[in-house]
Amino acid sequence: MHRIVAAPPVGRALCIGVSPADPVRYANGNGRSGAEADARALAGVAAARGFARTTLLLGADAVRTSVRAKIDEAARTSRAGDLFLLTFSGHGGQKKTVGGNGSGVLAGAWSLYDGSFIDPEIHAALSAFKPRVRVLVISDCCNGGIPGALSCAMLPLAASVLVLTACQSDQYADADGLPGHFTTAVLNAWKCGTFAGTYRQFHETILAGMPSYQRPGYYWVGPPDARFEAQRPFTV
Amino acid sequence: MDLTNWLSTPIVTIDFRENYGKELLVASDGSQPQFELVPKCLANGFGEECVVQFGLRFEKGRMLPNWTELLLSPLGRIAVPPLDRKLPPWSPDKEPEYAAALDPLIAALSRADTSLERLEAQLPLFIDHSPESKRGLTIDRVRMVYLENAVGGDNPNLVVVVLSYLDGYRIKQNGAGSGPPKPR
Repeated sequence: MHRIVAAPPVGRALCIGVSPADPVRYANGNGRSGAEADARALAGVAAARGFARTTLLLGADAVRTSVRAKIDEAARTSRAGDLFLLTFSGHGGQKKTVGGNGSGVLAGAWSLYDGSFIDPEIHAALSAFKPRVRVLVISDCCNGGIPGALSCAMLPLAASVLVLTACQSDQYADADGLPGHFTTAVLNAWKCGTFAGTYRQFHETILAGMPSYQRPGYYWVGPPDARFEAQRPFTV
Repeated sequence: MDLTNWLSTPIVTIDFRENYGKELLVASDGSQPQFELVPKCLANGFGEECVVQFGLRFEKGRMLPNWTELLLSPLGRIAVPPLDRKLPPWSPDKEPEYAAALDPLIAALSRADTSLERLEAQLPLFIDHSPESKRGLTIDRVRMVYLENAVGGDNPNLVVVVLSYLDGYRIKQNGAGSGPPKPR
């Protein structure tokens, strides 16, 4: 007699941190230092939550080709039900790019070590994930790197992508002068793994820890997944 | 570092701007931002006058007040690599092309440890991010590189200006701009 056993979901994480300046001098009030430390902290959350594989790309290793390759690899290996966590900590910006009708449109951008990784590129990379894969993006940077902002002109996403951003597209992520303020708020909301609510409640808790001039974003790209949203954050 | 290009075409007019460059590389009178590099000379050990740095001056209103008397030093030991492709003459509809072509160079010039040959100065500013940043002094690194034959058309040369925060200052912002240099 054959038994069909469903494979348990697998968690994969890619945490990117690019601090162009001396991280020691940028040590913030929590004793952590710069964007690379933020990436390490989020990778630590993933590891603690049982992700099977967590990849860190820091500083000079966080180049455009390596980031794209790691996302592609995760897309290839992820199956329905799996979770992929993608985080970016560093500079963000906006680049004028050519839209579908040939006109110039502003795209958010993650400032990687060797250049920008813009929204359409992030979106294209995420479009390779299969249906019912859960993707969580945490983007801790100024007004950029918000995959989906230009989605109407791009490939449809099959996977459900939940995006948490450090601020709105017209805001700066460093408004109080401390690097990684958003990641700090995320970690404070997470309370060393004791947070027990849903993603929406998680976002509300993060919001409560932020100043009024920096409002973190929360939205879906691709098909929303109510079961995903109802889960405890970082649940594989 | 060869300063010939900077000396022969010291007037730079900025047209393309992105990110924080849109807030810093602006003319307070609303015109097109423009500045002129003024050589600062020093006699070497043989008594020969050498250009060692550049001051910066501009007509009133053509740059923000904090650019006044900026002093730029030549730094770096690696020649700036040419762009992958020649840019078209600037017009606003060419912004995506400029953004894409200049992106790797801007990234390289934003890094604290860059070795590219450049002019560099420190720019004090207060930024309007938040109630705290309006009071907190920050200092940006201003870096300029000269690209020969980077643009098609009458003036083939291009100056790229990159702004990034200086180590030790906590406010984060970055930006860039570029424009043609011309003789005095």
